[in-house]
Amino acid sequence: MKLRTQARNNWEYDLTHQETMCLRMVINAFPLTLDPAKTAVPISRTDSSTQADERQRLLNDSLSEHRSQLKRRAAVFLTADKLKEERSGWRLQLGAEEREFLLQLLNEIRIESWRALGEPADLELVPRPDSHKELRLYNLMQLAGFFEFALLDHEVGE
Amino acid sequence: MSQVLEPLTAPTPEKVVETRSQDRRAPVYYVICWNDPVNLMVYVTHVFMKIFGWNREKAQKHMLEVHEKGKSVLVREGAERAEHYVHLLQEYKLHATMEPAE
Repeated sequence: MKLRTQARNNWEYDLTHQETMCLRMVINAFPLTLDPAKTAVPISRTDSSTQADERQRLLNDSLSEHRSQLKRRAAVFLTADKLKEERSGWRLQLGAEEREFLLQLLNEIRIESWRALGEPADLELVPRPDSHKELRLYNLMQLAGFFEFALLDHEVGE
Repeated sequence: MSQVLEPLTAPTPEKVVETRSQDRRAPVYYVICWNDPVNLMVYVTHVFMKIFGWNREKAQKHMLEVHEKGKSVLVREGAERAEHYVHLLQEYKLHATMEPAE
């Protein structure tokens, strides 16, 4: 996956057939975790004020709503004419807001896979080949990272 | 020569002292980003630029601080804004919290 052109708020990427198939597979895997309690993150480590519990509740609600939005958008993203087939592969066209959405979605998938794998410190540790579920999670985590990097790669040299 | 106009009535002083004293008492929070092994460095830099409007140099400095020292204090804000930033950072799946500054 490579950036073809970027003009103000419009990005176009070239993808091979295999990359397109993988991107569809990764996006269709969302959401991996249906239980919002498993995705909750503390809003503070040290705040013991009376408002801390209310803040945590608001954060949980906000993240839950955000995930619902990502889920709704993921369902229509691949049918919204964003990917167009060409002779040698596919072209992905994204506006600024769509690109931001895709980055968030891919990272959500990457983090969820990582958590489901038990939050390993070493991301290169390949699971046992007989563990189909773990292999799937591992592949999702690595593929989501690959596409995130591809979306942002050109920014590194700016 | 231009004519200088004097005000007909003296301006009413605002209650500045009271407002300042309230601000001083308001709790202040650090918004902190913690290290994890899974978020890509290029992604973290992008998120900092997007949320705080920082240039790449500043965003990378904080990203490297997170990576090398385990955490970085991103901003120091009142409760409401600190909470807002934590919401945004966590929507991007960064490990961010707000901690009392005093």
